[in-house]
Amino acid sequence: MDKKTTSQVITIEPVTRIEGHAKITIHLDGKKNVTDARFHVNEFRGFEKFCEGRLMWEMPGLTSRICGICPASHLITSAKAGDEILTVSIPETAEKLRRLMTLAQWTQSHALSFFHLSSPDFLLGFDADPAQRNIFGVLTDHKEFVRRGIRLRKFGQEVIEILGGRKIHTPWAVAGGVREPFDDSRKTYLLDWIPEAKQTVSLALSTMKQIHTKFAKDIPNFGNFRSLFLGLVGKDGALEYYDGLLRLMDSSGNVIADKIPPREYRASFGEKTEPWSYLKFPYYRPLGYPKGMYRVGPLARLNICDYIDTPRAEEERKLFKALAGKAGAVNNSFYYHYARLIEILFAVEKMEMLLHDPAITGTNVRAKAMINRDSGVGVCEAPRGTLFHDYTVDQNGLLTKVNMLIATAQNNLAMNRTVQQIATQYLDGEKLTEGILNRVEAGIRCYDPCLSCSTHAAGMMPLDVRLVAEDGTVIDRLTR
Amino acid sequence: MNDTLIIGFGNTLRGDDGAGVIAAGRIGKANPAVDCLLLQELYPETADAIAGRRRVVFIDAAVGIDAFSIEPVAAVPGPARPSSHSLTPAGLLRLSEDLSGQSTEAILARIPAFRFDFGEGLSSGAGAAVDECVARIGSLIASSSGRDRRDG
Repeated sequence: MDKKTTSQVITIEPVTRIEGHAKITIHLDGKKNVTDARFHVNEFRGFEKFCEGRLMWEMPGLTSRICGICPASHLITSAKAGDEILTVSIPETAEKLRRLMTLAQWTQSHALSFFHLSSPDFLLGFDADPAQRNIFGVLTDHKEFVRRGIRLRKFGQEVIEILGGRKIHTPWAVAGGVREPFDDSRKTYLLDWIPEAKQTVSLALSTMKQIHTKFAKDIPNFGNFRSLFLGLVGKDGALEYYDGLLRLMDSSGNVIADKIPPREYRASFGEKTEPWSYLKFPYYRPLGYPKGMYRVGPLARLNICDYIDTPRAEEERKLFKALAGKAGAVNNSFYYHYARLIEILFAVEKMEMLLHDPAITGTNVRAKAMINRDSGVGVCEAPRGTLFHDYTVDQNGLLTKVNMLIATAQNNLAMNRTVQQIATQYLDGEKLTEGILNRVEAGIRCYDPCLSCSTHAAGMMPLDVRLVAEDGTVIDRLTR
Repeated sequence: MNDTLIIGFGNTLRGDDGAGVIAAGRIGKANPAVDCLLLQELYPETADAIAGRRRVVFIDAAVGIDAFSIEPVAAVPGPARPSSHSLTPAGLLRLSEDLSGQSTEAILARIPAFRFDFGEGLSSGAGAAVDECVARIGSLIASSSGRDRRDG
């Protein structure tokens, strides 16, 4: 049999229930074996280029426009890069307020990921009718679950709005601090949300454990492979989300690089491009490309940290770590979902602590300075992973170079590996079923990738599956 | 909480895509008796803001139409595979009604959109349609307020 004429490509386009747009192609050889799988990102944003020539001061507001789901993370990371350029240590209140917003960002984004994007797969099953496998389908039998998920996200959004003046794209954080202090009169209002938020996360964690049992056969095939893990940890090894130093762990749980100052990230991490995707492929330089594949985000953060400094989240972290068993690290990407919920619990507990902190209502929220350094690197743990903003400026603060290392990009190699693993396990090259295709998509959703939504012109996102021969001929097509 | 909620949604940095936001903002300023939400997309938690209202007016930019139009919205689950983080007006209405157990009268005002380039500002066609939208929705609010006063 002539391999050239029988090799096929299955295309799933666009991938649904992720932030942004993408497609997946699964490449088959002449014997219908999966030879490769690619997660293509078709969007091109160009922020790094068109921000050149802008004033450094504008960057927090500009880069918060990168995304409608995690704008606060870009906002704060950009402001931190600005802090470095000014060479200032920001006021205590400003740092605590930025921390509060970062935690609120985690809460709303993680809640969206779990309750709205992934729960249809979990509660209705991968093989459920695709017409029902969405938030409305979940609503039929799990009304309270949906209601609580919506309110949990709303709580996160409320914190962001109260701090920043609006839910998305607030220009509140600036180089040197934040624009406005916290309105003390809203503190009680936010604290009143805490008990309900904790209850909701408890419900979600309980549901998650049932999901682990329900999908025990599927879980081993959902991105279960060895990789490195990267994230920030505090000076004492605590889970960190706003500041700290970089730590890299291998798949056996060994810390292979520690206390890397974020400013020196370029020496450790390279970025490769591939002609079939606009999303870059970061890797750990000492191991080269693609061996230097690493994962970031909730799974990585809970793997690398030594402990969590809030009581209930720490209890859950220990349960999470037990999943590693003899492996030393939790290597299965399905557990991103579990880690995400633990992080919401941490965020809610931590927000409660911050709201009770007298310093949170201080009025000194901004350090002022001129341009004192020609470059600055800001880093923060965005919901999806470690986010870097790297700016070079001239003496007037005009940007001459911008590099952003986005969390989703850092999971790019791992997402491709996940798709390949799932496709290899479930596809035989002859039968395309909704359940198989949704498992491939669900593998991607483990990472909650954020490919950015710049326009809302959404609504219909049809699933388009194509079986394409090596010469480009479409020999089969499935749409829904 | 006012009886009527105006929701304008779209991206004001992508030309005509922001027409709904611009129109809703103007309507909100001119009519203190309505509440107004300006959003990039319709998020699930917006269901909370709709619950318990007598009426909601969605204002959005639309492609493939030449003239401003108003149409009723029926609460349905939305497309078979919604991207979930952004809902259609019909889907959001359904979510709100299912969660609150209360029904809300809804209309969708569609503003013809022609240009989606990067940048603020509207094309002349969308700008004219925004003016019409502000006038017609304003009249609707005024006539409804008058009717309410008579009914009251």
